[in-house]
Amino acid sequence: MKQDARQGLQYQEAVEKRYRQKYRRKQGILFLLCLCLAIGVSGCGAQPQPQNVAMGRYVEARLPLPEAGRSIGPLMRSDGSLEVYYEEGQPDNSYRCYTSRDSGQTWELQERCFTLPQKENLSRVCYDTNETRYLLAITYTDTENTYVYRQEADGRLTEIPIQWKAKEGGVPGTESSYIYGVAVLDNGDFVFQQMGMGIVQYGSDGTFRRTLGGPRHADYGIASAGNSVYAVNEETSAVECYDGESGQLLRSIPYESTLQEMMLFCDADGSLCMSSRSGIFYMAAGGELWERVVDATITSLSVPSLYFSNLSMAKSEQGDVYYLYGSNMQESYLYCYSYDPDVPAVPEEELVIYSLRESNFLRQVAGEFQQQHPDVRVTIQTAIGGDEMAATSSELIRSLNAELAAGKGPDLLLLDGLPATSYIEKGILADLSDVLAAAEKENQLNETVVRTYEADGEVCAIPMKLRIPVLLLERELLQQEELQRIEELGLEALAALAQAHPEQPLIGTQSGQRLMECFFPVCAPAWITQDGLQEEGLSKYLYSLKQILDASTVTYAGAEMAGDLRDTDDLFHWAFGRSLCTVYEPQSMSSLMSLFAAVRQRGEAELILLPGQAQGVYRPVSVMGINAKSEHRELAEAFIRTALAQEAQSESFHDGFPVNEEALKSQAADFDENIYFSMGGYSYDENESLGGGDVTPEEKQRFATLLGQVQTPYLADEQLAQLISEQAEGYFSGEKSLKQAVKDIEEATKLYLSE
Amino acid sequence: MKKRQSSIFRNEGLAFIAPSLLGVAIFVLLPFADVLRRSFFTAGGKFAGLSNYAAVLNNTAFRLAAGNTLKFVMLCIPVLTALSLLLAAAAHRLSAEACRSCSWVEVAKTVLLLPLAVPAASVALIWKLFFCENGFLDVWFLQWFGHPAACMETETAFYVLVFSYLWKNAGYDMVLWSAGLSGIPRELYQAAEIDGAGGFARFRYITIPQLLPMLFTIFVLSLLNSFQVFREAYLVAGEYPHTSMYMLQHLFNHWFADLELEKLYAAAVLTALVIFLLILALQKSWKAGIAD
Repeated sequence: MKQDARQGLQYQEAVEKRYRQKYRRKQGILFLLCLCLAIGVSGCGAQPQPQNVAMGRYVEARLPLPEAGRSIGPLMRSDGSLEVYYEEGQPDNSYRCYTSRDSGQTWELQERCFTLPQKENLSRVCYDTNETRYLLAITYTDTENTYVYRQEADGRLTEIPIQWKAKEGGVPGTESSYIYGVAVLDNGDFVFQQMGMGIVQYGSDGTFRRTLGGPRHADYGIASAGNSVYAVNEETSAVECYDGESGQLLRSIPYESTLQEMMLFCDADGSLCMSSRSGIFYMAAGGELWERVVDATITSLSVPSLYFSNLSMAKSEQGDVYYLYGSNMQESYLYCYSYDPDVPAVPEEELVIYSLRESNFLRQVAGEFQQQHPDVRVTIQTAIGGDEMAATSSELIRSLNAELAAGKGPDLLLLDGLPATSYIEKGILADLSDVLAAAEKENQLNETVVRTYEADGEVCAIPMKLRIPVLLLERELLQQEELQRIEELGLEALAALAQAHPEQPLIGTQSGQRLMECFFPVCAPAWITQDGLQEEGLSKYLYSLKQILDASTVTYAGAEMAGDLRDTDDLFHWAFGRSLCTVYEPQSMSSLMSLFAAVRQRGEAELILLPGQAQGVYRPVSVMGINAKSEHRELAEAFIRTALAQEAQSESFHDGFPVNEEALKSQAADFDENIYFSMGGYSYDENESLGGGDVTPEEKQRFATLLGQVQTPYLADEQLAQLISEQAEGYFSGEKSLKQAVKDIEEATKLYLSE
Repeated sequence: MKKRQSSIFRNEGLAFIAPSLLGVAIFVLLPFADVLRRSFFTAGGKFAGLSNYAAVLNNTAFRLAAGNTLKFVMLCIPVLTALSLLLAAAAHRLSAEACRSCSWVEVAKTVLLLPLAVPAASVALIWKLFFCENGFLDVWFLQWFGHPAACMETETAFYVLVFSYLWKNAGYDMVLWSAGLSGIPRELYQAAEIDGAGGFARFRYITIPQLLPMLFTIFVLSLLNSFQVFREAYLVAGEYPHTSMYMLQHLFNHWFADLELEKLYAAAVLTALVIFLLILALQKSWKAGIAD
């Protein structure tokens, strides 16, 4: 009995012991779970801020050049001095040269430098080890050719008869392709970077020696040191070093940089530097790794209107100094990058700008803003174009909205493609009335356009550019009875014109879809209101288009083309007399060339704002707004002022016309006599061509006048346009009546509009 | 001793669900409470009372989307539940009795599960090939009837979506039913068989009552899965599909893109309320069924 009781007790103890062990195990698991949760939750907290700020970085300075206007150079001599060349001009085609011995601070004019033969333009200058100067000159007449001259001690020029390696199918020695880079080796040989051929070496007497590496489509600079030649190989993403004596590849140094405007420089010690739109990179002699010394995003290297060339490097007590030559269509600038130990390694403040798509205008403004605010880093977040290519724009907008709704997000937004009206209604964007008022005091702005988004005394978004669709037609046609009241009747007058001239279509590639594409922007603002679609306006719109469509049986529609090509095709049809009018929406002053070439071809022609149902319709583009929750409000406002200023507005990127009147005037006054263009017909007649020189200032002014007449904005709603177009197709093809088409459109858009 | 143990167990139970509860509270309940609060305010932060709810309920798009979603749920879930149960019962019977050595039953089960493993983007591509403009169906209809099927431009679009949902989820629900079926004691069937019960009677009086606890789980999971069909609808027909397949998620997406947040909050609260009430009603009827 006692034994049984003891056994029972032992059993109970064993059970309790097992239970306690199990309990402790569970407690352990529970503790671990709690720990994991605590770590997980604490991970959501803010990042600890670094206490110490790293100091020192290369800063950019724009040095004065001796003269305004475009120049050749600067060229760094072996003694560290800089040279820059200016054309004296006619009659004798001579050039003057300035020298700076104090790193570009002051310039000294040399005596008359050299005179090139007539019709030759100085392209590049280089020196050999004996400090003999060599010149590259290009002719732009019937054939583009390059001539090489050596300047003798007495100043005379002796031509070196280079036996140019022939282009495919060409005759050797007669014609060079474009030369991107030149170097003279210690052994007297010349090395040229020839377009489409790669790096080609010629003897000092001009005889062809060899091609270094294979043929390349390279347009990057080359560098030399002694008898070594450095060149970029884009296929292997490496800078290659060749021996100029044997032609052998000595070494290959990989790089990680964009190839855009890549240049090389090698100093006497063999140290190498490279510049591109990514920045400036340095590699010590014999090294293997590039060090990025200048970040392009915080310098002018990111300014798209500047073209960079002639990289050079000089040693100084404070460290290496880099020089770059930047130029735009009008001016040349010398940029110097030197190390400043007293500025933070990374700018302490950051202005974040969001753009759905890449915008050169935004980059231009960012570059200029950066120059005015070197202590601020401008970061442009471009949603489409980088790693986010896989995402659709609506997904990207939702992701942006999540940030904005949380009171975060970028400081400034380029609103093109974004729901600007919703942002304004929801108070996401800050009121810019004061900024605009200040900008209006400093600049003469197109008030209608900059106040497009004005409501209840607030301006929450400002368009920086605008585009307008225009109608081209013969002056005689404009006098006709049907068009007497065109300003008042708009689209109806055009429909009457089309009916009066059944022998020709109103526009070339006339189809229901094309007509809607052309006239929707100038009609929709009249009948799309906040309350929805106005039936009467919509009916008139469809009816007029149908009248235009049915007026003529002649049409050139049929070819499946994208928007721009179709515009060009229509321009050709009109220029060569196959249509009554044409509709065109120029993107910049340069796109006026084709427009005015067509006008010249057709003869006496008139250019008017495209008539529709709304008066003076324009398309506001490059619209900017500031996030109301931005912590850098003042910087963002300064950015907008920079964007509205004449300097930024004067640059053209084929994205619209400036709202700054002075910038528009300067664009209109600009005339380049060296421009000649020619374009051929696309689908109708391949033998037809339009061509000519730059648009004259008078012609540009004629167009600029139209920009001042705009009244009504077309705030693009592509989704709505598509829904209407889909339902209207049946009406144009005759499958449904006007009443049915209007009913279908109302039904199809009801859902969209009611959202 | 016993009392102490049960207290330990009770505290232990609470402690064990605490991390999960905390997570749900932080990431679900608190945000939802915030959504509830915001649904009574305007975008500018002013108190709006029930005006957001009124705006949502008067919104044509919301009424259409809610109606379509409800119609979809009401049609799909019973059909899916019944279809998967039949498939599971057939597979269970075949693999258990008549066709023990037949490997094709297992293959069929795997094939039915396969749609779950196919990514939504690939499924959408297949549906596009079949149902969209100039797809296989259009071509066959043109050959046979002289006109295209135009599935995605008519009311048929809704049934394409229903088919897509059934195709994707039938296998999954079948597996859940199979788990329930294998848990039913074989002796019950044997006893019923001895008592002279036929196949249908056994199914009616043994299988269905025994599977009742499973029904609730399957119903709730199917309900939640039905909201995932939006991915396919979006990928096949875009942001603005035919009105018959315009679901709540389409609308929510558009509202979010337009930052119509106050409408979104109110609509989210209404949707959550409907789902909650639906589950509550289901739970109640399930409990009643169990009690019976």
